Amino acid sequence: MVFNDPVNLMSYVSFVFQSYFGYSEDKAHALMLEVHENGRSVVATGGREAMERDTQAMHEYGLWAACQPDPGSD
Amino acid sequence: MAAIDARGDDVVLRLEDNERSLMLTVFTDLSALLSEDGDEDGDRPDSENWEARLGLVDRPRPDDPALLRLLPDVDPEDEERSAEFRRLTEFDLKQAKSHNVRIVLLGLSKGTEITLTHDEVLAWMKGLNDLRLVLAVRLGIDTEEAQEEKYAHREELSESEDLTLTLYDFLTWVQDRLTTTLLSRTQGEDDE
Repeated sequence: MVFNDPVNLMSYVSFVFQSYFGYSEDKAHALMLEVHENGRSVVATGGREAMERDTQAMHEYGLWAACQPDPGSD
Repeated sequence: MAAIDARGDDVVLRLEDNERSLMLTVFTDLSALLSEDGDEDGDRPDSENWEARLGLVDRPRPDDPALLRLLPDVDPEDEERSAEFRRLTEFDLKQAKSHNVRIVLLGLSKGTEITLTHDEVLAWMKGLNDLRLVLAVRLGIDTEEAQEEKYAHREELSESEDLTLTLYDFLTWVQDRLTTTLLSRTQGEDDE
């Protein structure tokens, strides 16, 4: 999950989604707008290890990201 | 006025003298912030701290909100899990961020015309983003409303806050230009 942050530039967030997740320009742009407008967006889902690795990568890019267990999985 | 242009696979950044020296100062500060060791054992640099490198010792959650913004919790709703994640990953994250800053400082040391490879541009974008995160925390910009407020009442800012905001805007411009330069390149490739 990536949270909105006034510092992160739209261009940069879109770039990160394209280059790290390999999303298309359109998908990256749509997710970026979702973060911007809704305050957060679930940009990836999966197993705990993979999600923690992605979160770590987002932190390296400086995006405000977190990963949480799916409430349904407990 | 600074300029950023693509040249073949590289990106060329031209800075004024004052822009370059200011960037050297603030990136040196960022480097120092990242090398502060939160461990009790303050005499030993992170690079020699094998227990930390291997994730064998707990790492305290940063007290400084700017440092916490660079090294956030993995799950703000789960303190225990965040502490464990920090123990296992914070060392590497800090190293990666410090590495980016070193690449920026190396570039700045070359003069006012700086040619950057693709990988160096990436390091600059990340380093600039981290620096802007720190400046935003120092300026109290934590929401979009707070940001608008700063700009709307600019005349009420102290001289140092006003300078910081000017610097922040400049760094924003540089980061955005570098990003759009790389983006237009990948989009150009897709069109071919």
